[in-house]
Amino acid sequence: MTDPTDDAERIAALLDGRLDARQRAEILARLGESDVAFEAFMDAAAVLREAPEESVRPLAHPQRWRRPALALAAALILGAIIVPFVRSRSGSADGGDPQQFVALLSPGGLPSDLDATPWTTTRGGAERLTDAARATRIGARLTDLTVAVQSGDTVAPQIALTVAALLDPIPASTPASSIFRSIANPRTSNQDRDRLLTHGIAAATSLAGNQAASKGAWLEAARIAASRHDTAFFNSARSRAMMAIEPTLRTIRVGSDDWVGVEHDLSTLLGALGS
Amino acid sequence: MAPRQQLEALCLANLTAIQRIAGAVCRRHGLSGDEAEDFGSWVSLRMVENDYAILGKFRGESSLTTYLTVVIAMLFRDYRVQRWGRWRPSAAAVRRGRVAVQLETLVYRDGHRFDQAAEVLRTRGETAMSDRDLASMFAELPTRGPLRPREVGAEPLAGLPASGEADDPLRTEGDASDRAIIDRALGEALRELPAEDRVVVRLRYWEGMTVADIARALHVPQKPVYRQIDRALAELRRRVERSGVSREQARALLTALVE
Repeated sequence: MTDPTDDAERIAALLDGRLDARQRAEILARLGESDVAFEAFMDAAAVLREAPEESVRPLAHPQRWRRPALALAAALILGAIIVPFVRSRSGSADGGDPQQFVALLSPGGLPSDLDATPWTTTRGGAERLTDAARATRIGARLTDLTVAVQSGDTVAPQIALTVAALLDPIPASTPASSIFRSIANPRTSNQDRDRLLTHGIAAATSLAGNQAASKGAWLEAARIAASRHDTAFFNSARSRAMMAIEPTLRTIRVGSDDWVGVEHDLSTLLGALGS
Repeated sequence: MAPRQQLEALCLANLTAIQRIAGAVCRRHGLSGDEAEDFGSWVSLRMVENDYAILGKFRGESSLTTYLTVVIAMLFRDYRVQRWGRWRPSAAAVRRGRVAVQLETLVYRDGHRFDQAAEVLRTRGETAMSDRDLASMFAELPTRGPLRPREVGAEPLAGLPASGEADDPLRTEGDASDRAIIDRALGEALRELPAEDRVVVRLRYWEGMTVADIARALHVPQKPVYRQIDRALAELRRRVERSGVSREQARALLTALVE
């Protein structure tokens, strides 16, 4: 892909009449030999001709921008761009997002004995995942991150970086993964972290695929619920709807006292879907 | 380069303007609806890539508006290449002017049927030519394989009278060879013009810009541009004749160019 900035400013200066004779001759020579430059000049001249003089805002005074407000504003704007862009492509039904599932859980942090990686992993080299497996893992990790952020768990930054790494191979994910890197940044305030998380979850699940990510998110929330013996989670309307519409979830032995067995079933299922 | 926070602020403050410029570029290239929205999102993502590198490279030698407009125009070319491949109009279409280029692009690159392409051109205000006249123009363009298999449609061509004689293929082959020689001579003559003359002639006769618009874009008065174009055409004719094209053919070539 060409770097659009190579000639752009000189062409812009030509259009603005800001070049001296030598610079003008140089850029005109460039227009004569480069189709890219010529087309850009022509298109820009036409666009500027049709548009009124612009409300482009110059660089604001740096002291007026505080870093956390900036990160938040960036996340809000990026969320507004990214979510409609990818939602039209990922389509499909939305069973719920990690924050909705975590809201069904009883209070508490991440269980210390929860198996962090129920899926098979390969040692060394980059793992090659199917889109569905990647989306499942992203959903699960977003649930973990939500619980960790809410409980002030110090493992939250590490989980956020894991989510960013899972997003990285997805095309056009740079803005979304940068949100999670901002979440992992120790200088981000708790308040901003919460808001970034909301937008980051929307962007990440849309990019990854709503259905698979939603399934992964619920399964992870369900594992946490099982470790806490949280019956209310499984009895909630949202969980019952999730188990009803997803055939793979109907095998879970909810209702028995065998919480270890339920947790094991959930881990096995999450492992299979995330591998 | 300005600190990342400042670039982020600049980007956020100008997102609306960026989208407006992207929309204008789309309208210019006949994109609308989902495609225009797709391009707008693609531009926004490119703007934030690599810590807002595009904004970071702005040196203040031009206005920010004009810089962003040029950058987005260049980004459109990348987007177009990604979407449709490295499409280039044929030399024959370029020689016949903007309408021919657009007609060829709509049919062969974008996969429109001929009648659809004709309607798009008229709706955009690019031409007032009838289907029949456009079909005559289209018939003179080389046949090209579409990027994606689509029905091209030849209904308007079926209504044209046959040109008539049994030895037409031989004559046509000879005509095509002559045309190739003339096209080549014109291409070489253009390349030998001084850069500014070349740009002005191309803007005027290949892109259809008015002299007033050319003068405005180059920040020069109009009258000298008229004189510049006259001089350039005379030079083109002289060079074309020097390359072996007959005076009559050269005259016909330049006449076709300016009409």
